[in-house]
Amino acid sequence: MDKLDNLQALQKTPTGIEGFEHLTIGGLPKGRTTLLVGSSGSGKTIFAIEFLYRGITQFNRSGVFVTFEERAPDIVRNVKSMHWQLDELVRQGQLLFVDGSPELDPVEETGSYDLSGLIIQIKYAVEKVNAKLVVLDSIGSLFHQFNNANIIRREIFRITEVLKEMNVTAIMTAERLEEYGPISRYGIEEFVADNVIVLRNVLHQEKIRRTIQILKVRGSSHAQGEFPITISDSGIKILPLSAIQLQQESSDNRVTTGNADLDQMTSGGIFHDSIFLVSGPTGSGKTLISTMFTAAACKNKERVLLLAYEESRDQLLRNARSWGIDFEPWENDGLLRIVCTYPETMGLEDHLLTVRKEIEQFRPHRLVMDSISAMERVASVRNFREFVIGLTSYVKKERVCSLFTSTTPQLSGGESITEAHISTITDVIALLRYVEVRGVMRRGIAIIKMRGSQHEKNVREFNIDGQGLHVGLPFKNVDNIILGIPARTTLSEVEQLGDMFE
Amino acid sequence: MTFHFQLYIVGEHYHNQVAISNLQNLNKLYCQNQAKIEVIDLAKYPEIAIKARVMATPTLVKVKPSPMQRVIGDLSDIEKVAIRLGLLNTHSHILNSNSSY
Repeated sequence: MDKLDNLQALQKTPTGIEGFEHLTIGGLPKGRTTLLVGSSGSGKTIFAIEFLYRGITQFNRSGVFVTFEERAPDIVRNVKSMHWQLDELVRQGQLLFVDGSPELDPVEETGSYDLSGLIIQIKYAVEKVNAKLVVLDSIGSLFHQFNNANIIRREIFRITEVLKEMNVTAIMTAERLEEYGPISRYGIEEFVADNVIVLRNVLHQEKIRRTIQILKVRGSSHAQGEFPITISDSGIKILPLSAIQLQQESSDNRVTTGNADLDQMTSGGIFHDSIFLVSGPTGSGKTLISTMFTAAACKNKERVLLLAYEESRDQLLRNARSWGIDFEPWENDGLLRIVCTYPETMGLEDHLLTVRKEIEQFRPHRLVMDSISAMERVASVRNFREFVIGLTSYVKKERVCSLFTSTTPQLSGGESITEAHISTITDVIALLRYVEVRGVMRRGIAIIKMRGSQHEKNVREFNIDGQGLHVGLPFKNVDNIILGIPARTTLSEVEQLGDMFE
Repeated sequence: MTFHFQLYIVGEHYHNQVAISNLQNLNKLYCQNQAKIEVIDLAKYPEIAIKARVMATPTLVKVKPSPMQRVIGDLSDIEKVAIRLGLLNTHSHILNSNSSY
């Protein structure tokens, strides 16, 4: 019974892979082997190498890489583009390769054998660099090198036992044939069953979608479901979605929206860490509001990152000039950075990564995105939702006061996909609508939501002229403006209703 | 013709003993007991396992005559091993076939 005493809960080993600690609440189970499965091209080897590289460079833990597929020099060369100098780590005695790649000649087998030679090599390497991390890539390749699958199964199990004895945290990769089929080829998960992570590489609506799923981690909780990942020259990034904690503190500091009337409608401006969504049909004044927002910040010497997805830089400058606002001096002073990209140039995961990179480098106080709904057309609904959640949680964390515009598909208004997915995450929502009254098109604006503050409840009329945007009086006797089906209530009906409550 | 074999083993596992005894038989049948045989226990010399890239044990390596060739397992099928290592083309092959008459 002694063995059952003094047992501690499983500890975690952080991987340093961005977002992974969020998903797994701390990293991989310490001193255990985790099976990493995925189809070919899903990023297993990169994940495994990054796990070692970051473990060595960020957490000062030595590592051993056991390769059963590629030769060690090829692996070192492949990640040079990411500026991971594995050869340097080998020279410094922090990393050791064990080369278990196949022989050129097929090897004859006769009678019983085991993989003690391999186990001796792994043990020797781990002791030599005092390794805390081990990667075996890919274990399925052993089944191609040796004919007797029963022996290989038994020996893989023995390897995991040896790794556990040495108290190293290990990743074993294995391939699978289908994205949503058996967990791995050869049923490896049945004997390395404690922890399983799945990487996927799915072609979805003509776009490659990479995801990670924590299938199981023994004795520990973790985030459920698939999470999108990107692989770039800085490695793997897991995009934080629901796993991100809303731990940012809110503040009472208000900033101007750039328009006195709008400030009044929002009881003095929006909070400096909030997300402001302006939604309306084309031509209703969204770009004007974002231009004023940008100008107000620049006048206050705040840095603004302006991301345009529908217009070129020249068009933006010309529009602003028509309202008496000149962007160029601010650009020259380093207060304003305008980035124009077409949504079609890359997938949404990469867009998100680009936005984050821009924010990291430019460190803006405010972010303007005109329009976020342009992204809808290059992705599936699910993909878009993930993008929006990933983006908003990031700007919240970085406390960048953000204005997003969204174009509604119908002129009169109505709900758009963007509104449906973004509205719960944003703090302030302004709706712009066309209102037809007695055969004349007029514009209406309403603040339909403002977290933590009072705001104007009326739908007000507004005009746009050369000076900008002017909010006027509330609409009287017109219903259902926001729904996009304005209907005029007759005077007599109003009077009748008035009578009823007197 | 000179014969040189290396047999890599780890520890005391019974299939190591089987392999050693089969290798001795192979030597008798195909090499006129003239082969040089080295038995290397990798548990004592782990660097050699890395250098020689030995994963499975037992592994038999024919060092001479060239080319260098490998067979893994306890060598239970001696004739198959001899064919794989190209030992049947030698004088011993004729002896062997005569004896079967």
